[in-house]
Amino acid sequence: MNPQFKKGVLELIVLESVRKKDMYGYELVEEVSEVIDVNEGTIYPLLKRLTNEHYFETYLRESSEGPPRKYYHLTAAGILYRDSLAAEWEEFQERVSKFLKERDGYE
Amino acid sequence: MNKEKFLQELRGYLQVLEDQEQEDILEEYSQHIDMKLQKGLSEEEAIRDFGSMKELAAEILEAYHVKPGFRQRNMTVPFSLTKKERESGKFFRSVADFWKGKFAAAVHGGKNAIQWLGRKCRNFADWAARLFRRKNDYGQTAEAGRMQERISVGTDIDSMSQLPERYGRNDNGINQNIKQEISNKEMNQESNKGMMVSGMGKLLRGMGRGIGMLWRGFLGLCVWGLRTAWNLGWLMLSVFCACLAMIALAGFGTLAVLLFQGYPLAGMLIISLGAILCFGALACGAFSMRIRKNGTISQSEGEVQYE
Repeated sequence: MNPQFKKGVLELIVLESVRKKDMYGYELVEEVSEVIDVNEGTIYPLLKRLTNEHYFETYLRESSEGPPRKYYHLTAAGILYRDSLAAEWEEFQERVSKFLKERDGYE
Repeated sequence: MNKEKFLQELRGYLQVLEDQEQEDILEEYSQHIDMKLQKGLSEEEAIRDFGSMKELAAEILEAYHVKPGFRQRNMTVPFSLTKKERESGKFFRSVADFWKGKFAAAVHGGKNAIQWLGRKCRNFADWAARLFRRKNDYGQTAEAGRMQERISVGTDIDSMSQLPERYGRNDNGINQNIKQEISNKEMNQESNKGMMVSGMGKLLRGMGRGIGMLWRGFLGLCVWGLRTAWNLGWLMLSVFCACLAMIALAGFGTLAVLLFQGYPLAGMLIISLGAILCFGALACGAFSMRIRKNGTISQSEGEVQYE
């Protein structure tokens, strides 16, 4: 898949994943990797940025195995941002596919 | 690359961030790698999945709106000068400027003094040459005058002694004869006197010119000798210093090799480096002290040739 496509949509996928339930880093990476094949390293910077922009809150929770894990929780601002991104994505995706279908019709 | 090394290297890229943030991010990656290990992957494989370290670091820094290229500039900060050091540098620079100014003034003064000395010498030479010539001229005129006097006196005596005989012999022709003879004699004597005077003058003038030229040549030789001696002295000093610098360089190389072999010679190495720089600077300084021919001396030579 084109890395440029991935980069744009990765933010939306991460936001959507955390919206369903709070997740810790590695869990999130695995979840995102199921949707799109992405460089695992790049998800952490994204999480960091979204946290810095207050779309995420973080808290530590003890785990049965190993050290406490940092969980990410979507804030109200994060939900609004996710909704706007999802709407943008829908519109964008519709336009592009419509454009592509029109071209098919001509041919 | 193992986990330890990966985290260390990544930390190096994230120096610009606060320590807390660095720890935070590194903890995430550390946990990620641990999880991968639990799943049965090796550290190598887990780290390989992160891709390029540089891109990763750039993406992390981008999350903080930090320019990724900042790292290079940031890394130079420990080597850049603090305010205090900069001020002390300023102080040293001002001291250096002061001495440079003094030195330049001294050099300028020395140059002026030499120029002045050269000018005086030339003036003296001119004066001396003129003195000789004037004396000769005076001598010529005085001698000529004396000669003329003697000649005229001689004629008078001659004519006076001849006068009675002629007077007695022939009254009519007397005056004419006397006049003719006198004029003839006078003419002869005049021409002789003229030739003699001009010959003497020529001789004396030639002598004067010769003396002047000799004097000038002597002076030029003196100046040339002085300049050559000066240049030679500085050149020798320069060569000497250059040799010492070369020796220091050889010592530096030897010490460097020995240092790498484990001998405790770091101090000596620095000393030899200092010696190289010191002697190199001295050699350059001494070399630049030479006086070139187109300096003050050739100028004065040009002026002397006004005749």
